[in-house]
Amino acid sequence: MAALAAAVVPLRLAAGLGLCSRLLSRRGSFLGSDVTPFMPPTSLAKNGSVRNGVVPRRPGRRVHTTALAAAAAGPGRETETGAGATSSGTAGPYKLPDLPYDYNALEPFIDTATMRAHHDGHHATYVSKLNEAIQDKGHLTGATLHQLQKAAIKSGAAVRNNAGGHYNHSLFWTYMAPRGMAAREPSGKLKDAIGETFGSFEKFQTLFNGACAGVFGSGWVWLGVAEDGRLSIETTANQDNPLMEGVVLSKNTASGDRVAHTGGRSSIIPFMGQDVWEHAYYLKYQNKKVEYFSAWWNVLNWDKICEYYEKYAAKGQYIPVEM
Amino acid sequence: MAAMAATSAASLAVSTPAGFLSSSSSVLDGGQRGAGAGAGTAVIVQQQRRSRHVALRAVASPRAEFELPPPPYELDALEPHMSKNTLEFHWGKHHRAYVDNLNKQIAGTEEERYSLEEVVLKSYNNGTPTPLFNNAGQIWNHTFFWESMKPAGGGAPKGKLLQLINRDFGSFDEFKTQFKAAGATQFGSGWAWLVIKPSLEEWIAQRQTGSDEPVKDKDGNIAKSLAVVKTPNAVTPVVWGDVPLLTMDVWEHAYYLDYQNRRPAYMDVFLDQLVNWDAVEARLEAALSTVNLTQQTFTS
Repeated sequence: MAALAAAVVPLRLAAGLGLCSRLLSRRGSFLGSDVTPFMPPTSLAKNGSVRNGVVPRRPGRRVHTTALAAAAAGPGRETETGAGATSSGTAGPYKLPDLPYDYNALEPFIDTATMRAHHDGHHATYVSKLNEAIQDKGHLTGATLHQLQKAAIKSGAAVRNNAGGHYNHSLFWTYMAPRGMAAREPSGKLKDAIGETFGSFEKFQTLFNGACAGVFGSGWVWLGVAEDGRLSIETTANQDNPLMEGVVLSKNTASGDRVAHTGGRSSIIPFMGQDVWEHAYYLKYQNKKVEYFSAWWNVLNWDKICEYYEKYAAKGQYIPVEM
Repeated sequence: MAAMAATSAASLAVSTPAGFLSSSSSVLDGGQRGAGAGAGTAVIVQQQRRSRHVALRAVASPRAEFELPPPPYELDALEPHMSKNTLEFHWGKHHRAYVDNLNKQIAGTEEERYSLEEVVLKSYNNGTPTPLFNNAGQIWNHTFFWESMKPAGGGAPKGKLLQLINRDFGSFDEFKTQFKAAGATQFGSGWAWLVIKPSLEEWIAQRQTGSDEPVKDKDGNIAKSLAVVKTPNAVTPVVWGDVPLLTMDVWEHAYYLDYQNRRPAYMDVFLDQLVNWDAVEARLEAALSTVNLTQQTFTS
């Protein structure tokens, strides 16, 4: 029964997701004998009964096929939008994208409760508050989410924080995949670039983890392309990102100097990012953030990250996100 | 300066076990040099046992490390509003790490002989903080935070504090609204505060009249002195001369285990169930009777 579920569920999820026809065809090529195929935990049964080894999709969930065209979030999605807001938040042009996988798909590295609170609570609130914030800003009407980032800091705290939060998280979900469902390491041009800049993938991971640990307060850690085409690790505070005009990189540190292990660039085009806000890990890891940073590598989707690098960042373009 | 004298007194008091037990003043007595306080809780006894060893060493040589004072209540005393689990991590891991890290930073430097307030003020460096500031500020803020709460807290302030709140906010409800707004809009990590924003002339004038009547400025407007402020990350309003009366931690680690992303619910519970208005009133009294308003003394 479990084996049947293991075989059928990933394929059904993959088929439903649409983006994974590539994954299906690649499963034979990168799933070697040392890779554990994704085993859905038994807690999946809580979402609905497991019939014939198949977990039915949750009713009402529509899944977007790529990160770039987010499907509209249906009504009735749980949100915690804070004091004063309605339970479904403020409607508007910007939409909460569905996760590309189930809430428990990243277990045990990122727990289900965190995914629920992070996506349905925090990210949903950024979307709602962004829709609210742009209501009186006619000059921003019609901007795609990635276009909105450039002027975000100039547009005031409400736009800065919520446009940043919505963009950062929309891509964050797509940097990740259930362990075993995507490439565990970079390949091709990105692999070469990492080797050139950092020496090796392992050395890059060590530096990146060090930068994550060095951030003080809330923020993000990014891997991006600098002006000269080389890679650099940089950080931002709160929900800022390197797309924002006027953003300061890599100063949000515990030591008062530049965040350790960052490249010291004044701007980069990010194509991979890690959320180091406490809400990203606190329920499972509490203060043990170093453990979280190490565990996170288990759920990275290097297929997607390589795509972002080759298709956008290496060509000098920010990753587009529609709404 | 009164605070400096208190510092050296506390340093001496620390060197004998009796100094802990007999200290009737606050957990933070002139610089947190190990002067523990609080009624006999299991946590305090443990601290005393550990600290007695340190204290005996200290008789021979000056102590140079900050200690982690325990909250003035058991770690489970704030249940169900703030869980023991949260306190164990928040005080036992986060607050402790700030203390350990600051001690590592100041080892062998002149800051070893400073009180905590002195490290905070000096390392703030007029807005370009040095590496010491984040740890020093967070130690200060967290100790102030534990003392801002108590079991079966909440309710409303009374006496002079309530008069000033009514005067400067219009009503206690309006103060609560503004305080929660500050906490809600402190994006990312930080703190919400009730402070006295001193205008020295007004405070001296009011003390001299001995009156609670509103002090008026030159234009005849009532001089407001209480204010709600918010600070990011490790910043404390002490650095710009305010006198803190109350603080609420809105770093996510303060509430995430108990409330997840529901920061507004946490803030409601903080105000309704946890605030130690006695401590806030005592701080106000201390401020009113202190000439130099930038020397904050802690009372619990």
